[in-house]
Amino acid sequence: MRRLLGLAAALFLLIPATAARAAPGVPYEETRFARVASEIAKDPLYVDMDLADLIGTEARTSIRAAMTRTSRSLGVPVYFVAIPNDSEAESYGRTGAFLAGLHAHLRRDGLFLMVDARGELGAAAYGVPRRFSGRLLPFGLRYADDYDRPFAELPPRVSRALEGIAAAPPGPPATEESETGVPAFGQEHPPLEAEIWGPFFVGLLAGATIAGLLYGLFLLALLPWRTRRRRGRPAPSRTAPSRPSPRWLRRHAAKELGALGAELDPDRPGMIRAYDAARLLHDDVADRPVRGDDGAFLDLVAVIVLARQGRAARTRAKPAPTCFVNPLHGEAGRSRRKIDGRGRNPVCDGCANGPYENRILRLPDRRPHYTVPGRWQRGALGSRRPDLAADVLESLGVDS
Amino acid sequence: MVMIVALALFGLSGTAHASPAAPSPPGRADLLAERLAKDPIQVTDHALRDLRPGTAARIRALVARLGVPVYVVVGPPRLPEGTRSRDLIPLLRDRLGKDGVYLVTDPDAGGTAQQFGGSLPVDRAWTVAALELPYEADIADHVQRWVEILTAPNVARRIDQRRPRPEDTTPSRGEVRDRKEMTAFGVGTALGCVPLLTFLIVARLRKAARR
Repeated sequence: MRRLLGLAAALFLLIPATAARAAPGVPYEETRFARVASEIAKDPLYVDMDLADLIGTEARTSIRAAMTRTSRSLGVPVYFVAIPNDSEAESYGRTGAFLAGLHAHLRRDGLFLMVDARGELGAAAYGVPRRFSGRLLPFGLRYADDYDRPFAELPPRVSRALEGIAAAPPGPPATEESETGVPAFGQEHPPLEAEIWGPFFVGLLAGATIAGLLYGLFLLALLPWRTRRRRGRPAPSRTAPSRPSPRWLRRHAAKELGALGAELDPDRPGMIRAYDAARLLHDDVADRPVRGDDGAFLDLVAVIVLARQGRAARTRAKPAPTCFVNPLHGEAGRSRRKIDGRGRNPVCDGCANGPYENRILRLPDRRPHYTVPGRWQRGALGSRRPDLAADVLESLGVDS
Repeated sequence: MVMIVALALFGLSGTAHASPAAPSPPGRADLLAERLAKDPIQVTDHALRDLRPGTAARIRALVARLGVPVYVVVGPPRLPEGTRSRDLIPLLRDRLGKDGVYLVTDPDAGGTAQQFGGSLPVDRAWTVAALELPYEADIADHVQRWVEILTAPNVARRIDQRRPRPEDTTPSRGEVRDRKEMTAFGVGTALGCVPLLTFLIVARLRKAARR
C-alpha cells in the first residue's frame, strides 16, 4: 500500500509545476508605451509611422472632429492611437492590454480608442462619467468589414463608436476596459497540459491484459512438462477410474464376468471359485439399484476384482492382494505405503510414489472406499485379505 | 517588366502620389527614408517580444565591419498585397539618395538586401545566413552571420559551401507532453501487469507444490 502511494506521488511529480510568472516589468517592455504616451500628451490623435500612409489627411480631419465632439459631450479628453499591435508586441495583439499600458504611462483619465494594423478597433474608458453596460464597442464595429482594405471605412466606424459611447446614460466616473492580461515575455507558449490519469488507467487495463496473455503463455510452456509427468505413471485408465459411475460399474462388472466365463478352465479350481463368487455376487446385486446404495456399489467393484482375480488364477495358485488405493488398479506390487493414516498397505506401482489423492477409488459422494463400513472394509476389497472368493462364498454359506 | 516595377513603386510610394490634389501625409517609404537619414539602423518597437533589448546596438556594431554604408530596417514590412520588401529598397534609396547596402527585413529574417554602388552578393548572403541558422535565432544573429559571410576571404566560395543548419535538439512542447503521457501509460501498464502476473504465477506454483 505504501509503495502504491509512493508511485502515485511520483506520478503527481510528473505533472509540471505551473511555471511561476516571470518577474514583471523588464524596462524595455514599456518602451513603446512611453513613446506613444509622450506623443498623445502633445496631440490626442496619434498615427504611428507604420500606419501613416493608410490614414490620409481627410480621414484624420474627420476622426479629429468626432473626437472633439465626443470629448465635449463627455467632459473628458478623448485619445485615438493608430498603431500596429501584433502578437509579437508587448500587448500580445490585445487592444485592452495596449490601452491599459498606455493609460498607465499617460497618467491621465479619458476615453482611449485605438486601431491596429488589421483595422481592429479597441476602446477603454478611464474615469468617464457614463454608466456602461458590457463592452464599449459593439462587435460589428470592432472589425473592419472589408478584410483587404481594413482602413477604408475607418472615420465613420470611429465616429459611430464614439457616438455610441457618448450615448450611454450619465453616471459617476467609471472605468471600463476589455481583457488586459497578457502572457509574460518568453511565456507565450506554456507547456502543453499532459493527460496523466487517462493514459495511466488505460495502461492498467492494458497491463492486466498483457498479464493474462503472459500467464497463458506460461501455462502453455508448462504443458509439455505436465504431460511428461503424467506419462511417467500409469494413467488411471478406462479400466480403473477413481470415481466410477454406477452405470460404468454395472457394465464393466458384466463385461469382466463374461470374459472370465468365456475362458473358464475346469482344471483350475481358483478360477471356478472366483467365477462362482463373482456370479453369486453379481446376481445378488443385479436387481438392486446401485445409486445411493454403498453396499451395492462396492459389491460391483468386488465383482470386477473377483473376475480379474479369476482370470489371473490361470497362472497363479493364490490370488495376489489388490492395490489399496484403488482395487481396480489391479494387483499390488511389492511396495507398501502409508495411505491416509491407515497403516502400510500394498499399493500398485503407479501409486507407490507421488501424490495419490486423485487416484483413490471413491464413491459418488467422494468418500474413499476404505472408509465405508460394510463387509468390504476389513479386507479392503482384496488388498488386506487377497482371497476375496473365500470371503464371499463363506458369507453366503456356500461350501467351497 | 519595367512597367510592372514602375507600377509597383508607384503604388508603394503611398497616397501622396495617388491623390496629388489634396496634400496628404507622406508615404511609408518617405517616413522610413526620413528616419534612415537620422539613424541608418531602424529597429521597430512593434515586436518587442521577438527583439531582445540592445538589438539595434548589436546590429550597428556588426554592420560597421562591412566598411560600407549600411541602412537597416527591421520592422513589420507591412506591404501592399503582392509586393515584397525587395520593392521597398529602391524607394528608400530613391528618397535617401545615398549609395550603400540596404537591408529590409522583418524580425523573423524574412527580408532582402541590396547594394547600390557595389557588387557584394548581399542578397544571396542573407538567404544563406537564414538557411544556416537555427529557427530560433534572432535577427541580430542573422545579421552577424550575414556580416560573417560577406567578410569571408572568398565570399563566393563561402556562399557555395553553405553550412548545414544545426539540428534542433530541444523537444517540442508536443513531444514533452507526449513523453509525459507515455510515461504515465508505461507506469500504468507496469502496475497493471507485474502484480497480477506475479500473483497468478505464485498461485499456480503453490497449487502445483501442494499436489
